[in-house]
Amino acid sequence: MKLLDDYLSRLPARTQKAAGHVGSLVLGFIMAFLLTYVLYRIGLPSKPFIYVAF
Amino acid sequence: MSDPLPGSPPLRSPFFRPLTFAVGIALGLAVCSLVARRVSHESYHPGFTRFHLRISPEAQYYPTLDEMRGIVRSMCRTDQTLVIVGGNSIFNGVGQPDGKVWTGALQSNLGDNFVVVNLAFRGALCTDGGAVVAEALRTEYPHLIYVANTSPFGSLAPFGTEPYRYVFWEARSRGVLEDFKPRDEALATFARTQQTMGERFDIWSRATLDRFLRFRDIWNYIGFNYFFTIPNPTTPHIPEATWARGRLPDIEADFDAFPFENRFRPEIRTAELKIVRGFSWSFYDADANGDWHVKAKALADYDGAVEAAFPDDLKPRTLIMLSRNCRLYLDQLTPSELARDDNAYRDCEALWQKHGYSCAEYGRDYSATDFGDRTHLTAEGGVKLAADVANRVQTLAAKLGYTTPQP
Repeated sequence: MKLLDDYLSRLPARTQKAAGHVGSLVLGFIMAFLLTYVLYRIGLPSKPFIYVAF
Repeated sequence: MSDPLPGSPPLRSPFFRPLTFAVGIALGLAVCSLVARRVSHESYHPGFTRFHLRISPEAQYYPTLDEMRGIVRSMCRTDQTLVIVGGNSIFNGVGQPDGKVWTGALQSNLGDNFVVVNLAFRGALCTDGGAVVAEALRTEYPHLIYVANTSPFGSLAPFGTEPYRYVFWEARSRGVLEDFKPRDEALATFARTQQTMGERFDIWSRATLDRFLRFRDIWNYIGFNYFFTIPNPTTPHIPEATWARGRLPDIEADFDAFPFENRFRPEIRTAELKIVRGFSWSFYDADANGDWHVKAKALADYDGAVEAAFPDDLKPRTLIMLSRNCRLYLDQLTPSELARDDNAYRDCEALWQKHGYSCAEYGRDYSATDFGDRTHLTAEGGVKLAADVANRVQTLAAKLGYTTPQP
């Protein structure tokens, strides 16, 4: 993170701003994707269904 | 909130934009939802035969409503007659390996004007899975027949049973089911007597969230096509555990690979015979002459369940097949026990028909070798079942006026 911050701080101000927005947007996308996974996982039973015929 | 310690790195990058991040989450959720809707609209199950062991709840894979609707859309044109097969493991084809599943024979018997889609699951009721899909597709496919099996006086919740009830909740939350008073009343009673407020909220919140976000659809798609992340007993070891489910073949065992004596071992026979003896026992009383009469309460309860099982406009489009036990066991019943069993089948058949369904039993005249165990059929038995069902489907299709091509 520090390396990225150092790199960005050397860029022109407008580029820094744009990069900040793009990075935050991408991070938001990734978080959304992970959130769908969490929702999917918590909806599944902890143990699989065991079929027994009667 | 305490300040960071002097000299420690900042908690977040100065370039981080919270508002843009929030927009990213919202956009990401919207994109996932749109992608899920798109990929599920058409099937991602090429060459679909059935939901076999490794793409079923036994393997922590829960096919979604839209996934099943997509499968149907990819297999059946709207100008063909759609035959959705539901029910339990018998109709799923347990004991019949890929290529010998009875629904394949049913498709061959019916010909190109019909398309058979097997949406039966192990341990499911006739109101589960395929039944919900059939109801959800009733307007998209006007020429629709639903076929499922059950047993006389068997459990018959109009909203299905666990672990398959999630399909009903999905369909209900998306508004694709009909308003049907008897079912709504049964559901209200169930919610009042068997669910806590917390359970109701849990079901409602998950179904509602999934209605908008489609997280089940997107992760089933990923799990089927790219990688799977849920531990399950069918693929317990790495790397198979992570393989895309679509990569795993149907490994259903073949009853025919086992000698008859092994399928009906003595220690199994004793237990199975007890089940067969008890099959209709609790629903009948014998009079002084030894004649069997159905108990009024059993009949009334089953009558209510049959009435609520399917909406009125779907009843005439539904064929219920009552599954018989293997002859090996029937032949060991006393004449009186057999007469009671016959009564149960006859009474239930009449009851289903009274409510407007088509109904028939099967298996009474099959040989013992047509069965792989007490109730499941071998491939050869499946061929007989396919012939029985094909005749009845064709009769029903003619009765419903499906024989004329759709515009």
